[in-house]
Amino acid sequence: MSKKILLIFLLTILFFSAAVQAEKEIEFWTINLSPQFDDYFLKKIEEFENENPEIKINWEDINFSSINQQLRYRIAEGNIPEVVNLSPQLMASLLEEELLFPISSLEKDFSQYYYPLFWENGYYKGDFFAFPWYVSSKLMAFNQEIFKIAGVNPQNIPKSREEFFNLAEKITAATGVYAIMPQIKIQHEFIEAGIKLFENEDQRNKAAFNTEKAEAIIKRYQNLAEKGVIPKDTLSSGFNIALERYKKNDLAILLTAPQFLKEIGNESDYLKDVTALSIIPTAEEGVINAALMNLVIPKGASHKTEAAEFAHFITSAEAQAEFSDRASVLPSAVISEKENNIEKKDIITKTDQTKSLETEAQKILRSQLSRNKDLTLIHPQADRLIRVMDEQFARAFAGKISASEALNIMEEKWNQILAEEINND
Amino acid sequence: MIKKLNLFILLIFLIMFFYSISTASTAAYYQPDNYRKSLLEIRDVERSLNELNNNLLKAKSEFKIIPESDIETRLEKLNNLYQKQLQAYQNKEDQQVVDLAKKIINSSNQIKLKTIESKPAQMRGFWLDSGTYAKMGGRAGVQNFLDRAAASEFNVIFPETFYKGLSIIPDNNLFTQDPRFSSWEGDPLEILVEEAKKRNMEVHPWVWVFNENTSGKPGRILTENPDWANKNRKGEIVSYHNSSWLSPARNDVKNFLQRRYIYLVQNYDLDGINLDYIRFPEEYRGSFGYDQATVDKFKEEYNLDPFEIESGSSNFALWNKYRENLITEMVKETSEKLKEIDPELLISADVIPGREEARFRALQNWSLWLENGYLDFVLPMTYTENLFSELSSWIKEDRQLISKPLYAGISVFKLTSDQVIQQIEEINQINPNGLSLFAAAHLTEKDFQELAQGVFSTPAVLPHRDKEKSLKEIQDFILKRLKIIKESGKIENTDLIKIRSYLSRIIENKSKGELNFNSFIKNNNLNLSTEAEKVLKADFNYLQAILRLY
Repeated sequence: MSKKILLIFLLTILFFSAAVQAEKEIEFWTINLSPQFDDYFLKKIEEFENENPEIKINWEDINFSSINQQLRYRIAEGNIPEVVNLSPQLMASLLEEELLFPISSLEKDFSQYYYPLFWENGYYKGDFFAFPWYVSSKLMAFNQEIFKIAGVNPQNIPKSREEFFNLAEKITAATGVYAIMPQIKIQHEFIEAGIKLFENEDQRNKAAFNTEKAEAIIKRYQNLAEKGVIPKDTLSSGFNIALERYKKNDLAILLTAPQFLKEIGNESDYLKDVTALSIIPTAEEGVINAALMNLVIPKGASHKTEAAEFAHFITSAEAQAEFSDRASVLPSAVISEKENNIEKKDIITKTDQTKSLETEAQKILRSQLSRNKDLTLIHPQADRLIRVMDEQFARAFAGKISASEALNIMEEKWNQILAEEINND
Repeated sequence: MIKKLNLFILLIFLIMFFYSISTASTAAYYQPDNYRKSLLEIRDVERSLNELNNNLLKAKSEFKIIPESDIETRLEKLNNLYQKQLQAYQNKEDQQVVDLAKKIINSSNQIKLKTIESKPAQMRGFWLDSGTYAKMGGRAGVQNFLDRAAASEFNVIFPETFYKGLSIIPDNNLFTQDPRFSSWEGDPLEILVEEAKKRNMEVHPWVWVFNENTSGKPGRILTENPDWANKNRKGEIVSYHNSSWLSPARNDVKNFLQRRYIYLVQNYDLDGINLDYIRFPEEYRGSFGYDQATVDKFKEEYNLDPFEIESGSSNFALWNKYRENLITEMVKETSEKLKEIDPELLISADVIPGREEARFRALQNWSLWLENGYLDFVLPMTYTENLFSELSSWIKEDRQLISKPLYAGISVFKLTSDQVIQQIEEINQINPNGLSLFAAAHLTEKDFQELAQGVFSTPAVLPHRDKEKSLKEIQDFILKRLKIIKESGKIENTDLIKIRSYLSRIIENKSKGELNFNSFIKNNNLNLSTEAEKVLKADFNYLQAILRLY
């Protein structure tokens, strides 16, 4: 008899403790961040769980290439993760199919915590769907010695795009070295130069980029390719080729994300010493492209309020400051002076010079964060539209057609695709 | 006056002192006082010498068996030339700077090759594609080509002999000669066999099995025998690699192929036969096998219609197993028939890498073929641009699990000369008993030369031909290694003696069981440095592989 009571007693305890401990489980998906940042996430999750004992976080790291399929599979199954890391591109099709939850419909207003342009990246048909998370953008690393050989003062980097191209020309003419090898995305160039892609942003049924300004941009690139300032294979080669060329002094200026500076530092003492950093001179005082990662909540997820709390916690200024410090990425949340670790690191030690290049890069890139925006084209036909632009720009860049011919074809094909899209609706 | 002189000397001294401090503490590269274009040539030289130095340091730290003093003498000369180049830059002799750069970088690249170790016992093969073969034009061309290959110490050739219904040998009632060989005087295969023998190289004709064309339409065999085609569910005969295939369920197909292989073995003095495309088309879990013969035979045996089997069901597993067995049958029969004619003949196959992956992708159960003795070795086609990833882990795992040798196939066509050598080095780490390069068409004069400088600089015994000698060579190799470790003071004399006697015991007994270097180290309390232990472990693994696989 007493045994039976004991058993019941034990079962009751077990039942209650289980119920108390894991009332709400939140499944959290990241993209390609494990095992590199395990420490960080486990620590953050513990912190959050301590503050919110009724919530349990189950973290999973998923491959970029399969996250879309896996998520769709789980949504179809009804077993849906609560907080999911997605890029704007990955979000696009889910938004169209209305599979994501509008976080602007929650009581709490989260917009105030982030840079406005990043927050706006999550806008779709009147609502906001994403907690902006980490950002990566590029800066320029350049070989000061090659500048000196060309008779250019490496301390004096021009601010405007055109002056920058003139400088590049001068470097190639004097040294025979390629000056720059940009991974040109012509639609981003257009947007950064203030050119609109669509006549009407709400309807998006007609192309608007066929302008003199656009023609001038393409012509300038044609001209730089002809003169050997930009290598002819720049569009077909990946970033790795550019990095290799920079390492071998075959390229004077490398446009790079900060995480690759480590490789430059490790290459040789020479390269570490002669490399200096700067922001990339821009076309106008407008937006600058940067790749953004978001956290979203799928529509069918349970515990949406708690999920939002956790997503906000991970994307908070404090958490992002720490993460950007570790991962060589930039924060999308506005960081106060107090949380800004970078400024405190002004003292550069001799033994950790490569880290200092990265720290320097962070400082430089943070200074332009308020102008950063993810310029990924979000449109049901985005793949086709971009392919048209890439193809025609590549032909113009190779000198096969003129800049205006390229723009005419781009415009014509865009209007065709956009008309099809409307007919399909 | 004297005071002034003293002061002057002191000043000079001070300048020299500070100069020496500054050069010692700053990085090892030239600090110019003016900037001219030819400075970039100096940087190229510095980069090249740096790389050479790093390679040499690494080779030394790994106790590599390389011509070290030769390398160091030549490196010293290059450093002098570099100093001369700096002088020329200071004197504004820019052309001299450019000329010296060319000279230094050229020889630095040559010396770099010598920092790579050459293994004493391994198969070093290449596939000789019919196009390259035909271009040789006759005996003189063959001699020329084989001289080059022999200088790079290759020891096996896989000449493409029967492909797409054509052959390199002259017409007879079984074969139609590829017109590209029509101008040859004499039988191309006979010439190759003769010339290879003179150079101590083996010849294993490479023959196509079930694939019969690669141009998106039926080839010669299927044009003559349309019923022989393998098909997918929709009845199409062209697979996604644009190739067309023969049905493995048909006895007439198998006979047709086997008669030709038998002819080759009966009429030429061959060391082996290399079977290619002995599988289903490479599409996930065989979308092929829906031709009449394959389907009927399955219906007969299992009373099931493959067209009605749902993928993922247990019957589908049965259907896979059945199709896999059709290929296995072909391997078994072919092997039995050929070995009956020549019991010494070595039969090999070119296979999809990864023993499980191969079954999954092409219904090719090659590990079974090895274990059952149908094959003597396989060549997983580890064709990749980047250094491996899962391919290398498959090789590592498979070679442990299978008691017959496998030799990695390297895709020369995807790689630069440097990358070819890098991949061979990588393979030497994980499978030092051998490899083969695909294919001769892509091997340039430069490739042959560079191989001969370093990674293939010494002759290698073929382990499958002479196990005894291979063991002996590896023993010598390990003794050399021990000597190098000894000279760098990383091993105590007593330990050295223990390892030597352990080594000779193994060689004398040739027993597989005894060789466990890890426990030997433990049991004898050897006091080796980490690097020395790592290198010796690899060497003893190499030895063990020869004992176990041949």
